[in-house]
Amino acid sequence: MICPSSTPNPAELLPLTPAVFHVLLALADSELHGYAIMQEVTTTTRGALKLGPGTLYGTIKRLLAIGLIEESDQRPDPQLDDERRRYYRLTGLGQRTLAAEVARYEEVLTATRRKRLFANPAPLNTGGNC
Amino acid sequence: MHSPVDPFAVRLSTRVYRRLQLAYPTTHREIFGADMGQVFRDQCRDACRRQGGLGLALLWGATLADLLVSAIREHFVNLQTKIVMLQNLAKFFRMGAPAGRVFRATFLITFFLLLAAGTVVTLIMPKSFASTARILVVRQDDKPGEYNPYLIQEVMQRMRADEVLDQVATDLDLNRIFGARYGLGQSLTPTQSRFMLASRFEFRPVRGASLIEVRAYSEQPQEAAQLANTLVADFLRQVQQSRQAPAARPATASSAFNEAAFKLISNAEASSRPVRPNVPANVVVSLIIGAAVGWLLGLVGAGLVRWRMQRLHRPVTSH
Repeated sequence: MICPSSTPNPAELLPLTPAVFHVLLALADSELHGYAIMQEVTTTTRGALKLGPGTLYGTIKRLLAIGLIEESDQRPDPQLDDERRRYYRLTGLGQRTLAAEVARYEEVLTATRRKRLFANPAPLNTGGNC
Repeated sequence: MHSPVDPFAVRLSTRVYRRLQLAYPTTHREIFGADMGQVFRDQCRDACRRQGGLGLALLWGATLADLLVSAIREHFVNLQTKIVMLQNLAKFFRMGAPAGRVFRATFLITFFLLLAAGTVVTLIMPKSFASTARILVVRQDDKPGEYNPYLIQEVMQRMRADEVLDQVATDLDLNRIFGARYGLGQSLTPTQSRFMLASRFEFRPVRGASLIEVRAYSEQPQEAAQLANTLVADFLRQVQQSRQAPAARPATASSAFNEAAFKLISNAEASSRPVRPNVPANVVVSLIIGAAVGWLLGLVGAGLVRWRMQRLHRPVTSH
């Protein structure tokens, strides 16, 4: 199997590609198998990002290699699901990297709103007019 | 893998997709191929359930595009990994001074020393020539192509018997010749000559035939051929004599041996090429040993230098 080669700093891994970001996001609150990840990504992006099996497992391979996700030892009840499926979960590094990317998105969003690019900007938490 | 309720289209699609996975690099396929196939099968089931054949056709369109792009990407990543490995290897050989210099110097010195030593030893080793005579062993009741392995073994044992070797030594005056060559001018005793002769002969059955090869070794090609031919001739003569005078037959001889007929198939001839030393093989072995030992010593030397430098440059902490 592919093993994490070293422990990188989450900041070094940013920005994440959309596929990587959404796979990490799908695994943020539960352990999922490949097809469930694919469905979760389609749902959260409202169909804007559809991962094929090749892209999905290419992404999973790289995330395993960097150490952002890991294979889960737990298997579901065979009666509920196919026990041959491999389940994945976020590692500590994966959680930190996802949080760092979300924070980066928030910064970008805040800066964009300050620029008054939108007709009806949502109220800013930090407040203050320029 | 397939559920018995899967429609034919789903089963066929899954099978075709598994074939198409050959587009991916082998390692990727080995690790994730089954999972990718399972995911695609789930997609097929969903597409069929929701939109029927149209859904499956749309899924195939998206999957083929995904397969093409992701297969190219995986091959590219594979190539990049190999390039990085080669770069790391190159970096290893360019290790910074002085550890790199120690590694290179140790490797080169060890390699060339061992190569030179191996070559010199090979060249000064005494040459050994081999010559082979063959005899056929048959019994009257043997069918064509049949042979008795026990009889062959017995014949080989009797060919290397003391009386045969002693006769060879007498015929070729080996007590005197070996004495002059190895015994500082004195003749060897029959026992000493027999001992030396025994180590110069090799008896081998020919696989699948009733033949025995008698191979003799010597520093001189003519002598090797003479030894093999004389041994065979003496053995055949002794067998002939025992047949003519039954009382002289060896008491331990089997009936198969007593009934067997022996025929000289080919005489040994002097060979111009020595069998030992094998110069190309010895040089190749020296090359491999030189490289392996040089590499190991180089690593040890470079490691020691690095360790020494780290100790020297360790910052002094104040208490």
